[in-house]
Amino acid sequence: MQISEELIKKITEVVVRELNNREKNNTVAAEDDIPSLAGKERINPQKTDYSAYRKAAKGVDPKEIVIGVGAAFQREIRKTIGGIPLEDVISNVKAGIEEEGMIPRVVKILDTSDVGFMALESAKLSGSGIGIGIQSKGTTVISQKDLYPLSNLELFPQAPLMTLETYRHLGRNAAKYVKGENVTPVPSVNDPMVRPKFQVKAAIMHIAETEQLDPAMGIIEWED
Amino acid sequence: MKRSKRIEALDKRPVNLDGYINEWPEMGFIAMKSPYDPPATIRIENGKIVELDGKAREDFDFLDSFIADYAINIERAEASMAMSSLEIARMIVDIHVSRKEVLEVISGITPMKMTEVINELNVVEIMMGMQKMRARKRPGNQAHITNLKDDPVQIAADAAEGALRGFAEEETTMGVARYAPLDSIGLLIGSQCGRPGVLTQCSAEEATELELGIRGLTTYAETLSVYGTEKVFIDGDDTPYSKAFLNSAYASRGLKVRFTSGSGSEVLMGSSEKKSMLYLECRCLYVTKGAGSQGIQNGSVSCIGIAGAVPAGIREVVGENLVAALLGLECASSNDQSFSNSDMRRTARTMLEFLPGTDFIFSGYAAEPNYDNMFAGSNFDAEDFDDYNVFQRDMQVDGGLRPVKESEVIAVRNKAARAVQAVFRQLGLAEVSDEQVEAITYAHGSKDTLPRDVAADLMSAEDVMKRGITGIDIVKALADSGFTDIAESVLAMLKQRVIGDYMQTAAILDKNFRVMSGVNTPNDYMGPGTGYRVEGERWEEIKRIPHRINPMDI
Amino acid sequence: MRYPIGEFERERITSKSGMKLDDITLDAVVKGQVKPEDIKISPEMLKVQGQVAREAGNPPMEKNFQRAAELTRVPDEKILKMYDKLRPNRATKNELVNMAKELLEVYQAPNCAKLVLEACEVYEKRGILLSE
Repeated sequence: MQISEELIKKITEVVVRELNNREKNNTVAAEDDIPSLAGKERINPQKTDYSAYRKAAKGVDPKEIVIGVGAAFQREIRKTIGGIPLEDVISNVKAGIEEEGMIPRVVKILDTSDVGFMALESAKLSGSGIGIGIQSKGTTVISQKDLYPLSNLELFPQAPLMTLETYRHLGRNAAKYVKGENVTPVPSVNDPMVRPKFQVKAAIMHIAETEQLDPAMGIIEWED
Repeated sequence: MKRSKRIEALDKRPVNLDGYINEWPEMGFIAMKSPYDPPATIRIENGKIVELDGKAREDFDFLDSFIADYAINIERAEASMAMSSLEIARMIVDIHVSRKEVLEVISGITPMKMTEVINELNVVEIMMGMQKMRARKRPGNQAHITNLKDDPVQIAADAAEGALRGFAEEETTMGVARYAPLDSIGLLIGSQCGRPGVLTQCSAEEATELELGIRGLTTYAETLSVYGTEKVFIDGDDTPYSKAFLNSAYASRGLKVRFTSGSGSEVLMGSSEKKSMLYLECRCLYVTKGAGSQGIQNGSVSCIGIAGAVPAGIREVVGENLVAALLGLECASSNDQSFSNSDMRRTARTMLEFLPGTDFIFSGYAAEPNYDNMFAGSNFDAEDFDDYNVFQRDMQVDGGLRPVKESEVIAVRNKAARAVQAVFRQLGLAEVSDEQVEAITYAHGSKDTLPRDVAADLMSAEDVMKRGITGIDIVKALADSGFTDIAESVLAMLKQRVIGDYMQTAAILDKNFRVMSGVNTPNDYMGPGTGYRVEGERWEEIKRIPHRINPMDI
Repeated sequence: MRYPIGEFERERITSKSGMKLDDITLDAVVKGQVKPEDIKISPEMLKVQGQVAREAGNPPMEKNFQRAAELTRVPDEKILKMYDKLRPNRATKNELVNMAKELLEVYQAPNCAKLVLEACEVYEKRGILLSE
């Protein structure tokens, strides 16, 4: 059988039209009330500009403990993953430090959103060599300036389980490390169902934090 | 809106407490195939790979460089890449094509080609593939042994019970990282009280873990984490090269090692480069292979909440387990993290590895109640032991565990606790009271035990490191305090590192310290009538669950 | 040698210090005659395991055992330090080149030296070296 070019062209047109129609119908059938983010590259279209802030200096006071907070802290993210306002988080950590006679300083870390590195960088800036890293979702690490980046003095990995008392307690402990006391770490808490419930949310919050990074700014003074 | 009572009832079901999300390829929330995944290509010039999966050598990141130079069999590459992905997928499920032939073909394909191959398989075909491609003939199982107090005595008792229940490997970790030396000692001693030959490890920061291994306080290592993008690898404070060096360092001290990876970590750490989870995991597994590791722990692992949230996420998870097996790696197939609020959903997910059998179905199973699981909860825990034993019996499947008698459980727990008490005393470490031993012997979890003096424990832990205490010191302390049989077992474990047989693929030890690996007991499945079958003494053992009706009682 | 070596070639196995496997007994440990060096693997055994891996069709694993055989000569503290230097952003180009040189000349470890040099080249290209 002879098939002319024209016939092929015609058939192709019909097939394409048919497929397009079908696709349209499918779209209607699959209509969804939850918006898709597919095609988008960010959560917050805007990046906060920190160029007016002062770069964080290295502390000299041996009583100083630096608290390094995440890039989105108190800006794009205002509450931890468990719903605690970040103002309260920071005031409780500071209160814990002060109760033990040490001096807190808060910086914002714009070159990493990894909590281990955040804590280590804080420790390196800190006059005492002890630092605390707090991600905006609430995950916290206490570190010391000469530890391996992924090692720590205390780690609080399950942010949804954190309470204000935990934040205050870890502040006190950080201060006790400075004083060279034998510290009993804040007792671990554990809820195995945190992961299925919160892990996706944690990922989204981490993306929102990471997209605010500004490595050129490095670390800035946050509570001047 | 007036609410439907049925929908209201459904809304309250545990499965609806889990997190789900739409696909979002730009942020890596995509399981099997991303529109941004590269084409599967390879170009070889003068015996060197100059193009890999759509990227020229000058654009290679450090994963590409390492994979191109270490992980792909160049002699085989052109022939294998010329085959269609569908053809390779069909070989995997074809019972007439041997495991060996499949391994040979696979050795020449690129990570993206591997991704395409897995995309051709549905979950049943993936399971058929796993049944054939698993390295060791007999499947195995691994336990997590941890508790909320990091109590080394409870670790010993749970390790003893876990070993008795059939686990071939036991892994611990700590809430407070500095407990590592004490918990490693507890695990080492306890495991051998339950069943000689069980391997133990302590998941800690890389350098610490290596040091514990070198000292002989652990007998294998697992937490050599690798990641699928360069950025996340750097955040993990390593590179493929440092990991390869570390792998060789472990081997130079005669220690069994496996790597760890798993889909979702790049998403969670915010740097997935828009690629599918499966493709990124393939890259991890090629790095693992290239580093010369014998095996991997994978299957999303601690990021299962991400994989489990996206469409086809669990197909991807078992798919990545199969990729490990296709590369000839021992696969410890995760199932080790709390994954769902729904008992149905968490069980269904585990069936994908349980039914075909993997080298370690769990990596691991919480051999304590989940509230004590310091890996933030496993998919199955101590309260599921009887369910699991019934699964084995119902389906005549070997899931690596066995039913036990209460009297045996109490006996091994007590012995383990007393042995640790004696060793700590002998070595001048923190005190363990008789009351603690008693409580731990009968305990279910740390809610039933007495508190420990944490500050004193941590000083002891530091002391272990400072004084340079080694496995030999443990053996001596056991012997000096009259635990001769345990001393013999721990010494036999230490001697494994002089021989090195257990560093070969998928090796475990039986109670006489005889090695069973993919080399001397390879999986030879080629359809019905071949491969591992549950029969003989093992089947009798599986049948003997505790809660059976005794007809004489009626 | 036939695998498992511990089963079929037991009498030929000696540890790094030269102690025979069957001489490592509980009695010897209790008498204090077994030192940590006596329970370390020998480079010869690692080469044998490398051959086993090759015969099992796993060349990357054989390479790993070759590197491991070389690293038996590197002391524990040194090996930890070398690993640390190979982590990202830990070493300058010079430091890695010197490490390769040390592996080659002090420890007769050419396979490890090669890995370090390749790492150095890749790290430089990817910008994860410290500046001099």
